[in-house]
Amino acid sequence: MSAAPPAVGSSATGPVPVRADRTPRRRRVVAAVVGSAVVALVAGWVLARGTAGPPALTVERPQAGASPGPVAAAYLTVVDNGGGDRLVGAASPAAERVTLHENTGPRGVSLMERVDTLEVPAGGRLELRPGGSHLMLEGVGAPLREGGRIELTLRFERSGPRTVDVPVVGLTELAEEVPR
Amino acid sequence: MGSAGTDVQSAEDSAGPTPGDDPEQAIAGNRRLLIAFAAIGVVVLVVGLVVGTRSRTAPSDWAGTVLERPQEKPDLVLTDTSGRPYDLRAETEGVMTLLMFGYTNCPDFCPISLSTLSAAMEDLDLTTGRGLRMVFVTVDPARDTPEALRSYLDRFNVDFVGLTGTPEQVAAAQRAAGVPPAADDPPGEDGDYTVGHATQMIAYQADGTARIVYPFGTRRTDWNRDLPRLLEGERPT
Repeated sequence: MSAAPPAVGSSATGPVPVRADRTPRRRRVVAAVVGSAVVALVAGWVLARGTAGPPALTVERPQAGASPGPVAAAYLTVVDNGGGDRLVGAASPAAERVTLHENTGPRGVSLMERVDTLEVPAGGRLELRPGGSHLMLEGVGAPLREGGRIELTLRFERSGPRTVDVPVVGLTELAEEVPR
Repeated sequence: MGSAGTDVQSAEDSAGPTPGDDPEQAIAGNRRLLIAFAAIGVVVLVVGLVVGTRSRTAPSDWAGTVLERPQEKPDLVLTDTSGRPYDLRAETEGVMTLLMFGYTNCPDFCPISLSTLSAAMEDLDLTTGRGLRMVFVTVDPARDTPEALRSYLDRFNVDFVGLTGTPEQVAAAQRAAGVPPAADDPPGEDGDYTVGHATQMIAYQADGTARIVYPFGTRRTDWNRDLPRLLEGERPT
């Protein structure tokens, strides 16, 4: 108590006081800078870990449309909780070939483009659904019947192969899943 | 509004010497301004809501997309699945007709659309094609022979009409129906290809005029609601 007033008093007299006056402010500034740098570093590290880390994929709601002929389509959603991945291919014992297609047409137009890969964004989802991107099954031997099941192996760039059991659903039900 | 403005003005001008009186006046003016703005806001909101709900309820009355300009049934002659010429206007005169372009190797758009319509026609007991004709024109005449078309359509409904023609005839048919022309996508190394095409079903009523089209994704329940009305001659607007 008694020491403080003289300090303030002495600081008001010469060059020392100016410094003494600045020090706490500077300390606060330094603390703020260091603090935000630490926060930025931690945030950057967490984010970088998110995008560069291993993908953590789950495949949801796989389904294939009953086929009227030698072609059919399969749909599913790939959810990633890691660093992202790419679907680079697929195969099924039910078909000679399974190819990846993306609908690039405007609304109301089917303009399916065969693509080599479909992106699973880091921490995001790849949605394959009627009217959009899908897996095209070509050379389907035995027609896919509603209520049946097919095996489908998805090949991911980083996660490797993933085999899923896919129920065959009626085409009329699939209409319900077309986005309005 | 004008008076409210001047009140504020005067309050500001005379501020200073008599601080007790003028702020009160200023507050009164501000309050009037506020009330005026609030009133305008309420009017704008009400008008917006009325206009908004009207423009939203109008199309939702029909499941399909109502055309701004009705279209006449195109005048075209193609080849049916028995190999005979099929004059669309003559063959479907007085019968409501749904027209769609597609191809049998189509993995999703065509089979989903045909299956859904077929299910609805069963629901409505229109299975024999009574009162409603479905005409499917291939956009892939190279692969879709009349036989291939027939066996494909039979999986949905034996009464569905399948039409094919030369590539020129098929292109002309799409122009006549007012849909964007189909285009083959580049084939893969195996030589297989998909065809980009329009996906809507155009609904020509019994009078030969289409006032509504049904986009891909039309549900079975949508058809069940709209088809009876269209067959009764109700005009979508």
